[in-house]
This record gives sequence, C-alpha cells and structure tokens, in this order.
Amino acid sequence: MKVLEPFLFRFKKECLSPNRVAHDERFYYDQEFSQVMTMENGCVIPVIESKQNNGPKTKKADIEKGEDQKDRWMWR
Amino acid sequence: MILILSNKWDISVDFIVRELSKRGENFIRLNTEDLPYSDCTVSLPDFSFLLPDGKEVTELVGNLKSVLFRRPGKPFEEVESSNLPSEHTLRYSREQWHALIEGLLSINGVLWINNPRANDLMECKIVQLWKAVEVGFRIPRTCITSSKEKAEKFIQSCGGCVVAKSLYSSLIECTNKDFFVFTTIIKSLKDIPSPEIGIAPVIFQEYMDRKIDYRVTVIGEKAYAVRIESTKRESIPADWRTEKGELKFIPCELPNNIRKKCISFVSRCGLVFGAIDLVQVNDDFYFLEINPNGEWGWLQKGARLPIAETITDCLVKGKL
Repeated sequence: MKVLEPFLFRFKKECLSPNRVAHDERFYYDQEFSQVMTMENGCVIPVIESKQNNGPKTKKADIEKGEDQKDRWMWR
Repeated sequence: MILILSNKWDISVDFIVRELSKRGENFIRLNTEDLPYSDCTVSLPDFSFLLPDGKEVTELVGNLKSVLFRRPGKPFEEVESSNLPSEHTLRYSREQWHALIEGLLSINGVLWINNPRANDLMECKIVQLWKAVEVGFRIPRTCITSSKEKAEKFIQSCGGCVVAKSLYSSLIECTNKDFFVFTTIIKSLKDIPSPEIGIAPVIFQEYMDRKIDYRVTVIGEKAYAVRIESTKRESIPADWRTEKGELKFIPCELPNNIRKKCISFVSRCGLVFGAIDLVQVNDDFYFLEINPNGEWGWLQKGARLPIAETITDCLVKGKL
C-alpha cells in the first residue's frame, strides 16, 4: 500500500544546501572573535570578508538567497 | 550588554558581530548548541541570571539591554550520531535548556530582535495575511483548506490557475536529506486523492501574472527594498527562490504609503525585524508573506544594503 503523503510533498525539492552541518576544513568558528574564519591568500580572515566564498554550505550557514529556515520557536 | 542567541554557523550574525566589535560594544554571542557544556545559573527571589561569557560568567539582570534571537542551535546538534545520548535524554535536555533560555523573557526592559513568541506566531500565514489586511495591504484572494472540493471550487473561481504553498514551515526534514516546498502553480486537482489534501491543509492563492517581485527588509522604522529581476528572461517564476542563481536584486524605493505599511505591519506583528515579500501588478502592490527570521546576508553582501548596521543600531540603543 502506498504511504499517504501531504499533497505539497509532490512538489518538494531537495534543499539547496546540504542538510546537515558539514565539517569543511576550510572554515572554523573562532571563539575569540565570535565569527567563522577562513584562510585567504595566506591570512586568516572572517569569512564575511572573503572575496572567494560565502562560507560553509550548511543550512545554518546560508547566506545564499532565499532558503529561509524557520526557527520553530527555538529548537522544538 | 547585548546578547546574541544563535549558532556558530549563522554567517549573517557575523556581520552583526563585526559591527558591534567595530563600535566597541559589549556583547556575548551564545551559540546555544553549546549550552550543555556551559555554566548557567538563575537565582530567585533576588533575580540573577548568569550566562557564560567566554571563560567567565556574566550577570544579565540589570545589564542586559537587547537580545538578537536568530536561529539558535539545538543542544548536541554538532555531536556525531554515534555519540549522542538516547532520544529521550536528548529531548529532555533540549526542553530543559529551552525553558532556561525562555526565562530570559522575564528580564524587563530588554529589546528582542525578535521576541521568539512573536516570531513563532508570525510564522502562521493565516495570522500574517489577516494582519496584512488590517494594516490596509491588498492580498491575493486566498483559500486555506483541507477539502479537495473547496480547493477545486476556488481554483475554478480564479480562472483555473492558482498557486499552492505551505501554511507553516516549508521544510521537510528527513533522516538523511531535507526538502523544501516552494510556491507551486496548480491548475487542477483532478488526479489528486482527497486524503492528500486532508492530511495537511494547504494555502491556495490566486496566481499573480505579470508581476514584479520585491523583498522588503524592515528593521524598526527602516525599510530596505530590492526589486527582483531575472537575468535571463522577462518574467520570474511563481517562487523566485527556485531561480536564485539567475536573479539580480536591485535596491529601490517603494511608494511612501507602501513603505509605511511595511513598517507598520512589522510593528503590529510585535516584531522588530521582518523580511516581507511583495508583488506589484500594474500599479497595485500585494502582500504575499513575511519571514520573521528571513535570511538577509545575501542582501548585505550582494546588494550592499546596510542591514547589519541598522540591526546593530537598534541593539545598541536597546529600544526603537
């Protein structure tokens, strides 16, 4: 028997970025600066200053357009 | 003191951190996925709320002026699945931490961007749409239903073409992969079994053809608008997010009455921040929805809108 799914699931698309936190070695969270850092041209810089990339592609690190993630209150 | 409740990988928060640091403001970024490894203590009746600040702890009562509440991380979410506690321990732990953080709402005189309760309420599109009507926005004709029959009648009344979208979060979280439901054009439900509509209600709205899309980011009394255009064709799809690689975002001014309505709407929703989607058809603007926690890093970096600066202004003032 086919499992019943909501109507809109017919149109679901894979999320535009990976669904789980990806451990990308190019980026790390720096506790002292409270920011994600990366190495560029031999210097460690905040990833928001990077001209080469926008940071790790995780659903929670998504400065790409539009994929608004809901908070669901807090984490419930 | 300014408190940021978020997660390590929220890059948009980094723009705020940079701005706060530049201004020499005193702040704590608490990435809540790390709470189980932190030292938090609340004392009563002499109210004291101690939260970790690096290696120290900081008293928030009497010192806290504003909170940026943006996508807080779940405790243990970065832990490998093989090292996670049991499911019931995990749930219990998260609920207890949730209650502790919820207690921060008891500290008086604090500006929240956004208040998590208002955030949650405003995720409901019925509430959004009705509030939009109350502030005088036009909205598309809308039918939210769990009845296939009612939906079919609505489609007919709209000339045989509507859009369908989720009533709450469009995110479908599966074990190994997540999915997202974008706004979709629907012309008929003929082959759809009724229980598929019955299992979860759906929003159907009249389809706006020949529209111009706008994203309006409101922060307190400021509103920053961008017009969304395709780089490849004249019109853009029902949901512009499906073509994000081929879009350009052009900063623009909205008509004054529409700008004021956006600001008034966000305020009436009990929010400070809101990302509003509008469409223009001929000379008329229509409210589609608000994302109380909408993403904006791409507008800061790409369209060079001063969103982080404006949020920081509010956090520093501790009031609107």
